[in-house]
Amino acid sequence: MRGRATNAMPVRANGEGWAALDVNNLVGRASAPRTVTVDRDQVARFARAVRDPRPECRDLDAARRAGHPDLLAPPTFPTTFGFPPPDLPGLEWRAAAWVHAEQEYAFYVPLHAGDSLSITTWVTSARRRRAGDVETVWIELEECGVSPAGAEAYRSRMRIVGRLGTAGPAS
Amino acid sequence: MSGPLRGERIRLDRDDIAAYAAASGDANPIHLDDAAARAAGLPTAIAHGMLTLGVSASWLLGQLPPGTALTQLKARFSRPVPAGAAAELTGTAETADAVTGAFQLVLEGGETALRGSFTARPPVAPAGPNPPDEEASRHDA
Repeated sequence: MRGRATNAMPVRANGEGWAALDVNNLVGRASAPRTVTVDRDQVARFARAVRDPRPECRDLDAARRAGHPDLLAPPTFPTTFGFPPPDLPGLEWRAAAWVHAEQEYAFYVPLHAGDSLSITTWVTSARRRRAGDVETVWIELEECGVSPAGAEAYRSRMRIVGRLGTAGPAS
Repeated sequence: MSGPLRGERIRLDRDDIAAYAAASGDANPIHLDDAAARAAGLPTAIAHGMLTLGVSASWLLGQLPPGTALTQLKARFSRPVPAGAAAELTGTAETADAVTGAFQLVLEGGETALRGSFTARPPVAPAGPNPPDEEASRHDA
């Protein structure tokens, strides 16, 4: 995921760009489930990076005193599982030609270091919009994280926007 | 709690953005490299939208009673936040069955960069040293 954020755009696997994206053929496409385990050091680093003031996100003793089994993950920590989004069949993301327009989360249970989750991402909406000369593609992705016991821990919905014409097909 | 939240001026410098990129795994170069940002039509490197939302959530949680958990969080990223730009977080909260509220991050020039809303669940039980008086007297009886 990290090594590939250099070129300019999300493209279909065949190398075409936004303009060629068949939005009618995207809805329902889903990533393969991937299993993640919440890493304690990453929780602490993430908490510092977003300036979470709660000691239970950084200090194990404070977390245990507050009744947590391990460090408590800050609310937006699930972004580390799904951003940039995983490749979906026929849709490979490349950074820098799309923007994150909206984000929603529902949190069902607290997330702690050491927790394992199965993450799935799928496309719920894809369409083109035109405003004057500018045409954009709006893609809505949903993602859920499920515990080994089968309980949904969180759900995410993100809207991302690609602007046609800002980046040509990869060449 | 009900009413306005305590406003806070924030600034996300390049080091802050780099630390978030490393902690989150989102190494999109438009956040780290001015040239990459310009190639994408931006004037300069910008903070991750999710960094601005993460900092907003931290600001909220810092004002809610300890043990409060967010149950919903929603944001619209309407303007990029350039590295080093000054901005201010403001918002309001209301308490009924749950705590709900709205917030925004406004750049120094007056443009709104983020508009959000949240729902939070107050701490589940008064596990701390101050149980309600009625409870205490019942135990004593």
